[in-house]
Amino acid sequence: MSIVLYRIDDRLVHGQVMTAWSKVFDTTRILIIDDATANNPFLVQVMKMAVPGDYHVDIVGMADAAAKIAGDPADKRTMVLVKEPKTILELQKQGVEIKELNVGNMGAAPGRRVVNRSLQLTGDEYQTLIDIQSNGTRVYAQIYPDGKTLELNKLKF
Amino acid sequence: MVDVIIVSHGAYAAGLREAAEMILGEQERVTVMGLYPGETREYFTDNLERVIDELATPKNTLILADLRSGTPFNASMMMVLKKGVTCVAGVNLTMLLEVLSARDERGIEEMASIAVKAGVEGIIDSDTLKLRELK
Repeated sequence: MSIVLYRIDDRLVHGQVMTAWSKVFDTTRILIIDDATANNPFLVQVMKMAVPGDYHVDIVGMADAAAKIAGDPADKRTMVLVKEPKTILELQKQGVEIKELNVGNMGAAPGRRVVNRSLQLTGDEYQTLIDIQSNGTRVYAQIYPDGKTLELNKLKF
Repeated sequence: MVDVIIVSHGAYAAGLREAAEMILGEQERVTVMGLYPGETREYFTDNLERVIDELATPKNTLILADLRSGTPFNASMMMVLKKGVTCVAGVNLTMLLEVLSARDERGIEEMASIAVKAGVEGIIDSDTLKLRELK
């Protein structure tokens, strides 16, 4: 298994991910699964330019995601980044096994309620996280590797 | 004169400008923008685009970002691709001072290399200085 971290983070490749999470999990690759990002050539270019030369970033839409995960090189350590819970639920439906899901940044958007400073969810998104958990995945919110961990059951919504 | 925008996590950009103004005096055409928890990349990028659109000539703009791969830098790189601005990551006070001193006489096409050179040259450590003294 070469995927060492699944994280929801709507900033995708950014400071916390590159300076903290990638170091703690010793990753050299990031796989971004997001249709809108994959279809935006500007964003694809920016995400690839954001990382140092020895780091690898792949960006795919939902249609190619499960195959990409299955084919991830066994000798590499890869972090999967998505923007929304529904992407993870869809992966599960396609048979991808996910032991743990780290919920990071989900910023302000219409219909979202504040859970904490960095995490805001709509009712649907909260329910999707519950569904993901009932499929056997441990779901926890954590912004920094050194920071507090909040299990989904303890999260007040 | 080259327009300067400093972008950062939190108040670093505003603090850098304040520090530079303690040394060079009040500066015109320097905009600062901080990213705060709970703000999305899209929100930050839209604000940055609005600031750039209000400038007389967007291509004559140098963005100084705090951290490569950080969201303020990623948003700036979007503007490099969309608006033709120039961007340097890793801003420090030495870099900012040199940019502010040079931007009247030198053009935007030279600013990135001026910034990078100054930023690197401003970093020195006591081990190296002591070694130099011994020679």
